[in-house]
Amino acid sequence: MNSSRRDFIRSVALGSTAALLGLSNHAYASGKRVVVIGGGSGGATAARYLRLFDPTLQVTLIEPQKRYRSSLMSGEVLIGTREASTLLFDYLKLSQLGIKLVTDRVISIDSEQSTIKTQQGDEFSYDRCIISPGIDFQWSAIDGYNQEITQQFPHAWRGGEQLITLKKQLTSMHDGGNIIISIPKPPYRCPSAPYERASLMAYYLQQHKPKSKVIILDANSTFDNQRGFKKVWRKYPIERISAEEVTAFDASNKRVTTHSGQQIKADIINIIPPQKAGKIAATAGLVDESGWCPVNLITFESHLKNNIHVIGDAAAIGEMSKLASSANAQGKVCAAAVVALLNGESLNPVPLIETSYAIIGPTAAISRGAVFKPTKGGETLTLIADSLKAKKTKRYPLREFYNAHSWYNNITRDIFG
Amino acid sequence: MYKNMLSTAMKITPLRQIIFGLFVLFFSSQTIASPSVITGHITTAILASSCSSCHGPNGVSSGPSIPSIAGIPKEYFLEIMLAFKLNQLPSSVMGDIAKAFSRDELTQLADHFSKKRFVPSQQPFDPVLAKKGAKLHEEFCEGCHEKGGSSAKDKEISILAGQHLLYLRWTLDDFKRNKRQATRKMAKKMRKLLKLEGNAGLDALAHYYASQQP
Repeated sequence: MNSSRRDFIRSVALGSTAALLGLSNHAYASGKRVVVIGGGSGGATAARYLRLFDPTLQVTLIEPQKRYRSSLMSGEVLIGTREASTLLFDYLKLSQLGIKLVTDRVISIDSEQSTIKTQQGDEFSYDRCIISPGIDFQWSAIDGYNQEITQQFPHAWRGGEQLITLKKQLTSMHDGGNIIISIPKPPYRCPSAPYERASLMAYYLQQHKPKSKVIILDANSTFDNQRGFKKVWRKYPIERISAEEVTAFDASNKRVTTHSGQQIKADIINIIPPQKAGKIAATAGLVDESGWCPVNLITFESHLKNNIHVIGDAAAIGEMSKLASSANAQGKVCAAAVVALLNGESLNPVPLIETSYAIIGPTAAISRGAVFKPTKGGETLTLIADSLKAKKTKRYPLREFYNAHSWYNNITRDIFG
Repeated sequence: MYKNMLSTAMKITPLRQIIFGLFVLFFSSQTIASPSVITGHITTAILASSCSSCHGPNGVSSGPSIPSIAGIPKEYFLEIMLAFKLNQLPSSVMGDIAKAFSRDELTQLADHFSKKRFVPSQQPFDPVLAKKGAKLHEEFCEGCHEKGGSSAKDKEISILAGQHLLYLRWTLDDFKRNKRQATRKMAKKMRKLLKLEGNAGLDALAHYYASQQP
């Protein structure tokens, strides 16, 4: 095919997609290379929107897993009201959109040379790189709790096998057995999820093991949507010990110790460990002393390395929660910023919306929606609306439940196509 | 349907609305003529992308309850979003999220989604109820919600046929409980319907609209 014909086809394809999005169809940075690392809510969204915003971009998505295993709705899988298969998403639609998929793990990023190396020995060059590595755990934070031990004592905070192990432990526990869920100090992935998990496990116990209960050891004294959760907990076998941080774990005696010296035994111990930015972010020198990645909050470009953008849980995003919906929102804005920057342009502050639903019973849920706007230079985020702070006349737990399912069905299409 | 309420609340006269509309039109046409892709302003595309997390790509929701917003008339979109902004409608998070958008941005979004194709939901429904609902619709609703509720010719109503069943049923309930303000005509029709059929009448209507699938 000669080049003018190719250009013609490209401009037609570009024109139609651009028209679809309401964008003008010129001034694109034709053929520039963007590599996206991590195929979760942030990375998959960014890759998809890069191609939607500018179909001439060469977009490569590098992700070690062939399929994404969602933690959203995993609570329902835990108590058996949802099939585990509905948490799996492949990358076929992204590939059909012209994104090059690489199933591999990134081991290093050279920001001077703008190159990326993978475990299998491949090398990729980029004009800009977006990294969405998710979380890693602070293994030294709890004495006696480490990565190896998670096979018997799963945190189940990244879905997958550990979730299934925890589910098996729950169903096989004897009636009268107790469950400890320990919650770290923020920031951690999905602030309402530990409380959702506690609610659903307690509901399950009430149905199947009426002599059992859930004990929450919470490093925090308050939490989001507290009133909503506590309202349903009145009906459930659940006890929350506030402001008690788990500092040590004794696997052989199935016992935890808190910072005040309390020792508590249980049959199932589900420690949600304190968290930090995903490993590759640290390797690439994107992390500061906080454990997270400081970024400009308009473009998500790293403050530490040029031409690398960090989105999702790993990014330091102030008051905004580490959620799939936050990563999804950041992925879109970051994609737009990358397109703008590759064209030598800039992006004005864009509002970021986070939405989270917590399932609290077989047909009940509660929600939170909040909107943040970056300051002019992208230094900080300002909270401009928050459903938790709004005067609510009435809650509709049943409506929220179906809205939660709708939200899950829609956001996963927005992420994976 | 929120026009009177909003005009009072926001002191916006129809004339001022028209002037405002022209103003927006002028600037959005400037936007299109601009040589830049994203420079200097938030394009509608980025704004609209923030809706798709909950309402689905291009405003077509998979359901079972969050409504599709593709293809709804811009006047209706704008009015309902302004009502959300003023806490005048029940919602889970929409009321708060609406506050993030300026009137200008909402106008852009209204225009954007009105041009998207509405896709009726492929959903289960009760055929007996749907049949009863068809008769009730003809008697009480067709006057404004023309063509079985599939038309949005009157720009201040939305498309009902093919919308998600739960959304339809809950919204009817909100009207019944005065959580949503109906026009006088609609309120009158609704009272008549409820007197005659009770909640079963609302069930039937919702199933009828949900039954309209390609």
